[in-house]
Amino acid sequence: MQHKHKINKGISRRSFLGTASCAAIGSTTFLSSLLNLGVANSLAGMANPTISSGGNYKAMVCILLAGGNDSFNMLVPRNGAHYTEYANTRSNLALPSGDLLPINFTDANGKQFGVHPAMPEVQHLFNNGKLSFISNVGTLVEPTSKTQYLNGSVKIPVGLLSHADQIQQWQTSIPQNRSSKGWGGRMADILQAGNTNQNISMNISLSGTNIYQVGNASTEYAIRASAGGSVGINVYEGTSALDVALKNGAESLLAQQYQDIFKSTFTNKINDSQANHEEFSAAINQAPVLSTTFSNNAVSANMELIANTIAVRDTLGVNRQTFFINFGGWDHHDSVLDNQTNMLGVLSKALAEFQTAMEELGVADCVTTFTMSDFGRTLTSNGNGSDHAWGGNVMVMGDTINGGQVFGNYPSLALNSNEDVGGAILLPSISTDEYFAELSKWFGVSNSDLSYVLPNISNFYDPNSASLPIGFMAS
Amino acid sequence: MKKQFFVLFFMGFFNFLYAQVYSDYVGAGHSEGVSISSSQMNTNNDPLNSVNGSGLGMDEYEVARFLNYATLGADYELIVSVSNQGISNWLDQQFATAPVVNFQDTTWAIWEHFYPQYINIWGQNAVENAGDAVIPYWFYWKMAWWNNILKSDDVLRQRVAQAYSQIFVISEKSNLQLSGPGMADYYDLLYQGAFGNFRDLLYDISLHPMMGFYLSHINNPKSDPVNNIHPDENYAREIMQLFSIGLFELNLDGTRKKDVQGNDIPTYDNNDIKEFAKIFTGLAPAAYYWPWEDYSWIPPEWGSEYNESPATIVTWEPMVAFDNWHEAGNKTLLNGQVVPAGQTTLEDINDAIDNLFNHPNVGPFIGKLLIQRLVKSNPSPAYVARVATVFNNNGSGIRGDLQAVIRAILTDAEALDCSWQDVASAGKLKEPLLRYTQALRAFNVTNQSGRLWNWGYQFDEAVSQGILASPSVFNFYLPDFQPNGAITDQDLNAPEFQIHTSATSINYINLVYDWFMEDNLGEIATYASGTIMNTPGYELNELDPVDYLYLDLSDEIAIANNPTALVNRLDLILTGGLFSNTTKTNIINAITPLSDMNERVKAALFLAFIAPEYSVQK
Repeated sequence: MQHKHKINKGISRRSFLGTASCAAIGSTTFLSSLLNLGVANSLAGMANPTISSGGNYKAMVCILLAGGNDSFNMLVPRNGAHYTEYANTRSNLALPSGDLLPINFTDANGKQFGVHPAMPEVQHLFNNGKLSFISNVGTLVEPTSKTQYLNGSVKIPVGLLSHADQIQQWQTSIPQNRSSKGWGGRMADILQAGNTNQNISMNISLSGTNIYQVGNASTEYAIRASAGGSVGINVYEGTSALDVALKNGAESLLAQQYQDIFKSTFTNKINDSQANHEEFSAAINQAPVLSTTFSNNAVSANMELIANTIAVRDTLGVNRQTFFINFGGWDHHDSVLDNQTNMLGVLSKALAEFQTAMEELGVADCVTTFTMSDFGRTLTSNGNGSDHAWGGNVMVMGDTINGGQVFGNYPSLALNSNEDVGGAILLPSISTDEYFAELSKWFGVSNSDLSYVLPNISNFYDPNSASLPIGFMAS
Repeated sequence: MKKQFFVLFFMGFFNFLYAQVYSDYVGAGHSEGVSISSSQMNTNNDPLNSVNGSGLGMDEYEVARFLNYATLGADYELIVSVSNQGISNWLDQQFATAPVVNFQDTTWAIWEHFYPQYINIWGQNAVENAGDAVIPYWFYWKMAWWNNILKSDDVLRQRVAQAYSQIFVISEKSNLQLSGPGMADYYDLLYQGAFGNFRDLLYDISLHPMMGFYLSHINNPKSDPVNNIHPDENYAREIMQLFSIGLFELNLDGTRKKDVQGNDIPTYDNNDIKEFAKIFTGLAPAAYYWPWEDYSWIPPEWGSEYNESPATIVTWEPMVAFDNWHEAGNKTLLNGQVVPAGQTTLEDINDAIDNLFNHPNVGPFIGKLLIQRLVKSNPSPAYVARVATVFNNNGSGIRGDLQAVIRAILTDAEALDCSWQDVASAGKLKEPLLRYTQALRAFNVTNQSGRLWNWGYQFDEAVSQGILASPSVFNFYLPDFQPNGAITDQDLNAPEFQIHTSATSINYINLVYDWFMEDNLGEIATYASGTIMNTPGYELNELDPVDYLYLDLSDEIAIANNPTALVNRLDLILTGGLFSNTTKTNIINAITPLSDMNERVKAALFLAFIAPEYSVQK
């Protein structure tokens, strides 16, 4: 609890506004305050962005599998005793070994793996070095053993196994608190200033408001695949006398400065969004037609819009962008086998399509895609589904990564193992902090800023270390 | 009606007085007992009173603000009526009104309107052999909801049911979409139980098959250790976390209790969840249903293939217990209460519901959620405590009396006293859905056919809200959501801002334009699509003219030659007098050059609906 306030006070927007130009604040509110914050950040020594505009483009695409992906059926041990252990524990949820799609990797324990039969594209990406798994990742406050968990001698995440808390903590990476600020937003607090274009947020959401992309001074810019991109006020484009009158009236209403914080929050969002739209739509209209074809579903449509946005990065004047997709519906207490077959199939195709598009655009070496999810699920069955658990397996993709590997120690799936904290719930062996620190460092967060982005990181990893926390990023 | 035009006409002068709205006036804001005696309302129609300030329509403003909390949208006649009878009497009358509609009946009736059309277009054989192609899907329920909430006069019950639907969440964004009648029947439960006892509501939703499918405790078997099968924990968790007690021990005023180290105290742990999971085993559908075959003779059976889908079961009857599939053995509930071994499923469930219902958290937890839905995002602890006290005891020794709770929420000084308008933490962002229902209800939307069968799909796409349509059991927004900026800086909550994004905030303005400037007030669907089986058509340009929605703006058009009077009237009806003078001036300046009165009214509505004072309730 203390921690959250410390962070907020350290970089609260209000305190910057106090030192920044008041004139600017009066005119365009948040857009100009982003600029001010960039300056303020440097002054405060919070960040010293060294990214030059133009070139050096990097993007991170986050796919949140909301609801808790049963990821021990996504990445499955397929050989000998390892498969038997899996099949015994998972009982009627176990996939037949013959259905698993083999991937070319053997871990230190001799475990070999297959991916879910609905994921041939992921199998292909993995075997071609474009995709890797990281095993048993989860929310942790500090390094935690089963004994420590059971005797309560370490801090454990609040609201363990609860959707609302765990989905939040994957986005904040501060599991000891409830917080509405995410690590992607804190990255933007620091790195936004490096973009030439200060109007449009570095953090672009395909799924509306989220915690991950909201920082202490940054917020997401939401675009929509169903709208073909950004959304603008239609009447502002009208030319009839009536429309012009309405536009003028609307602008006068929305330009009012309100002391009331509900009203100012309401109008600021509209005004910022309209200004962003005018710029964004001008740029996205210039996107080239990709020869990569995308499947006809919402996830692929979102990936296609991300590809189009990346295609116009120079026009937009950005060299750092994060993208966020919330792909929901993974809470498979029921019918997990059928549902996962459908949904992992959608995910697998969307990943492959996006990777192809990045290669077509020649940016596959500067775009990293990664997944997260509320939690893994109980290894045991509740009849025909599985329940909320803790550690789970995630995917990273791109030419930026060390592909074709399973990072971390894929846990024993035997009941009552050292990772099983009871009820077939797996204690994570890699923290979200380590996972995100590696992505953040690649993205350009300096060693000294790492603990701003990930306040708990030094519990797991020395930010000044010469080596990476996990090793999945190639550079 | 006509008489009032004079009043409004003179509101140009009145506006001058009205600049004082944020300060006190007689009869306003001190209505803790809330019997605003308004017998003088008849004299308010004398325009003189508006000028000299003697009679004023002041309590109309207070009433209009109140009706923003208590209804899905009030028209001018209702504002006047409530002013005349007083809020307290009106509440009595609303509480005494039995449910006047039945959402399930309406859903069936609408489906039965379409069904013959599908047969006509596609042929009986094609329809019946195309799997579930023509079953009564979710959208017939959506049409029924819109139809009923736009027509019925039990406005308080309608508002409260809509609030409950955001606490006891189920959603069409799941396999529940296979059963419109099931969704409607679930909503009927909230609607019919709106003023009943919380304990009954909690029990009824727990046994509703739609909740059973949504949170997967239908067909949930006892544990099977040999096969590593344990009871499903989903409902066990959410009934505690979301529907009754929340995550942390609360004081009466809704603040969190602390242990000696100053930490929050969890209300339950994972062992408690496992115990409650055992309670919710052994429930299955009561009967089976298929549109064109009689399944009613098939006895319910554990493990039947028909059990797996809301499409093939009777979703409008409570689940039934199969005690053989219920976890035997005792179960330890909260506070150490032990349910003895050997009870029936329903005995166990009753005990568990009582265990939760009697937890001291329920009053402050549910009370605060309801305040947030109805009145304001950041109630003071004292307000929560007053409401929780009524929850705990309605004055006659009864716990969980929702009628008393609703009355306490709506008549609290913190809801009614206008001095709260100046407090930064007061108020809430009005949900997009309520902005829409108010647009239609305030101006008496209607059509010639009487079929107000709005689909609401495009609205949902645009602003991310609809009835029973949230993305997850966590509703459209979390109760503690904080939008970036001043609200977060002051550590306040503003749930509805979670769906006020760069996309939805702009889409809302475009919708308002469609409503008022394009006369596109909704997606009324009354005929079957000729191209897709079991899809109602709703293209505006293909509508039968008798189904075309329109608003009754005659009263507004009649005074539109006075832009000030027009804007004052909209301010009264829509916000209860929250427009600032600057806002009024801006609207007046924009509409005055428009010489067509019809156009002027529509432009005024467009602008009034995008003014922040409309969307932010204070």
